Amino acid sequence: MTGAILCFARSLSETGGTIIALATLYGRRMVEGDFQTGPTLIGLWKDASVTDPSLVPALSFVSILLIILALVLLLLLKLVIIKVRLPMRKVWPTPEKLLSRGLFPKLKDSSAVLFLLLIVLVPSFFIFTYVLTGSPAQADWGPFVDALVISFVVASAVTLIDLVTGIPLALYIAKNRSGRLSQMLDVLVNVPLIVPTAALGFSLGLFWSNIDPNASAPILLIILAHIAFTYPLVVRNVVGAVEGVDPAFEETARTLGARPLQSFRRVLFPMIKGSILAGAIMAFTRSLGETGATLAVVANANTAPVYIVDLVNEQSYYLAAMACIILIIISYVFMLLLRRFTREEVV
Amino acid sequence: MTLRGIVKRFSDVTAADGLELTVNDHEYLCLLGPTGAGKTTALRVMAGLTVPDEGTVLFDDRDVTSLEPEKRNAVLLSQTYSLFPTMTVADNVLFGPDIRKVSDQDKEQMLVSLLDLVRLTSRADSYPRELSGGMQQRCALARAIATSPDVLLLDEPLRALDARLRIDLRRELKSLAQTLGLTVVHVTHDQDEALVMADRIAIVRAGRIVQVGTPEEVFNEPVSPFVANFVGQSNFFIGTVACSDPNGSMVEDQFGRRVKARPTDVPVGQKAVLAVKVGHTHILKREVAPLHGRIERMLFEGRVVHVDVQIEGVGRFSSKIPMSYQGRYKVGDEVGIGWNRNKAKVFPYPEGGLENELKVD
Repeated sequence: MTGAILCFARSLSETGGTIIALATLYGRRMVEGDFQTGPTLIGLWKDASVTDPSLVPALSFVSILLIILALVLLLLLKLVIIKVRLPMRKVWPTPEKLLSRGLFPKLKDSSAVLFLLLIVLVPSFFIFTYVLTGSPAQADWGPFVDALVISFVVASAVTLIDLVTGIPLALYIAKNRSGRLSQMLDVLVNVPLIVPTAALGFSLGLFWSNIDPNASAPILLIILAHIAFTYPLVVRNVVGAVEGVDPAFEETARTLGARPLQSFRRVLFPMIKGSILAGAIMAFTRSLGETGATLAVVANANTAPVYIVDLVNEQSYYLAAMACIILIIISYVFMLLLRRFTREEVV
Repeated sequence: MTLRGIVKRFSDVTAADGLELTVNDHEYLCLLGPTGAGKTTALRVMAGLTVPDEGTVLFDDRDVTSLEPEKRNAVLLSQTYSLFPTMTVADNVLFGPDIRKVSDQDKEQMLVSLLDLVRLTSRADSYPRELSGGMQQRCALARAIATSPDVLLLDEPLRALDARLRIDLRRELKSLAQTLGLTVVHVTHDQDEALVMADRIAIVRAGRIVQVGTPEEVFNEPVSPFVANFVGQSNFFIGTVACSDPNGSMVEDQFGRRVKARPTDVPVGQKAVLAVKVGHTHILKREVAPLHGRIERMLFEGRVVHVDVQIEGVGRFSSKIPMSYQGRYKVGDEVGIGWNRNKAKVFPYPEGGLENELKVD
């Protein structure tokens, strides 16, 4: 069920992937009147609102709509999960027996693998064939390297801030389970995860531009925006890990003479290190790949995913493909690290 | 250490309801009570992990009621030992000294002698998960001793071990505490464990201490039918006190059956309950016994046979007979029940009824 919610939220909020896919299909920059999803529309209007401020109310409306829709749908989904019981207790001996043997299990397994290959993996990596067969264009790597550096700076800063501020909150939530406030925080911290990032980004952009009307430090705005939707990833992971640890460990440490900070550092931290790292890597890669929120906060932002979207819009497919491959490789390396750290965890 | 009027409520449960207890220096005290009686809460209050709603905790004459656990020098050993899984045995043992910034040389010395004491020298570099249950227990003990605690708080320290090991470790733990002159509070729900190990036993029930005394005292001189039954299981006979003098007393039930007991303060004519330990209850010939009934059940327990006798109008009386007597009786036999006058104690009839008094939850 958590999986269903995550899928739903991710799909609802995806901007970059949608824009690129659509722009590639049309073979040109998207314009109004094209097939749109909520987040791409926000991106488009946000772009236009730089020259035409009258679009801002409409933009707000779409953002609010998306946020409300996301929350309502989340609520509905939760209700459905609670209310609708799958007929788990009933058994149908004959059909179930039939479906459990012979060709059916094999059919099930092979169709699952085929789906993974055809719908998920092959299209994702199709880009490699494009680079191999395509004609190398006149490539100017400068802007991409710049964008990549910005993306890394943003992602690192975001991860660092997430960790420093997220771990204390996670500890508070996990250790005051019975408290009202803690239960409320536990629910609230998930909200940015479910709200479409483009809408969230626009809201964040409005908020921060009130404080800093000239957008004097766009990179700061991007960092702040990214924190909003990566923070829950760190908190979620750490809360889960801390809850899995018997409080008796820390209590024993305290009676052995350890101050609360010492008992965290020497006892709890080593036990949840893996989960903290996993959360950090998830936050890092999420920030590295985010398009919608970045665009919604700063329309002319210059991070790697935004740069790739721009390349696609300009039909510089070869460069875009190379850039994608580099991002894919980086993400893959991080994925490997993630798997290693999560496997090493000893509890 | 002294607990005075400790009260602790958790939403709808009162875990401590005016606890009064004094633990003497170098004493091995067992807190004995049924599950949910508030033993662990009492221990946590001593350790400083739970702050009581009311009452005070004194270490000597120092009020430590709201002092943080790390400043009390009272080490808690939890049921599961809580050995730190990311540290080796040596690092676990030296956790306390490390925190206190003991010099490396002293730590080394301490480690050698402690590991020797608990026979884990060869396992210094093992991780807790690689140790057996008994080894884990000894490692946790060494870790606790390493901080030279003023008081050692043990929460069911033998519970997680298998039966044989549990019995071996009773002796070991007690002699270790004696050798080192430790002050120990040991929480258990196992009356045998408490009787064997304790210098003094404090019986806990529903958040109160109902009796404190040596194992002999709580066994032989229980203050209530509950204690009589909880420590060493008793048979009960309900009636009124028929006569009482310095040599002994008699209790008579509604059918006019009279049984003997020790002298009692319960006035003649008052409703009372007589308690006699299962171990002091004998199966006799029908003719010579004041009570008789039919053998309902016989359970082979190894060295003894447990016999349940159903007595009309009284209920079930249990007795243990030596294995060699097993052949003398069989289920369905009519037998007599009797006991030595000095082994039976008379209590005023409990206000909430006997059944309520004996309830263990």
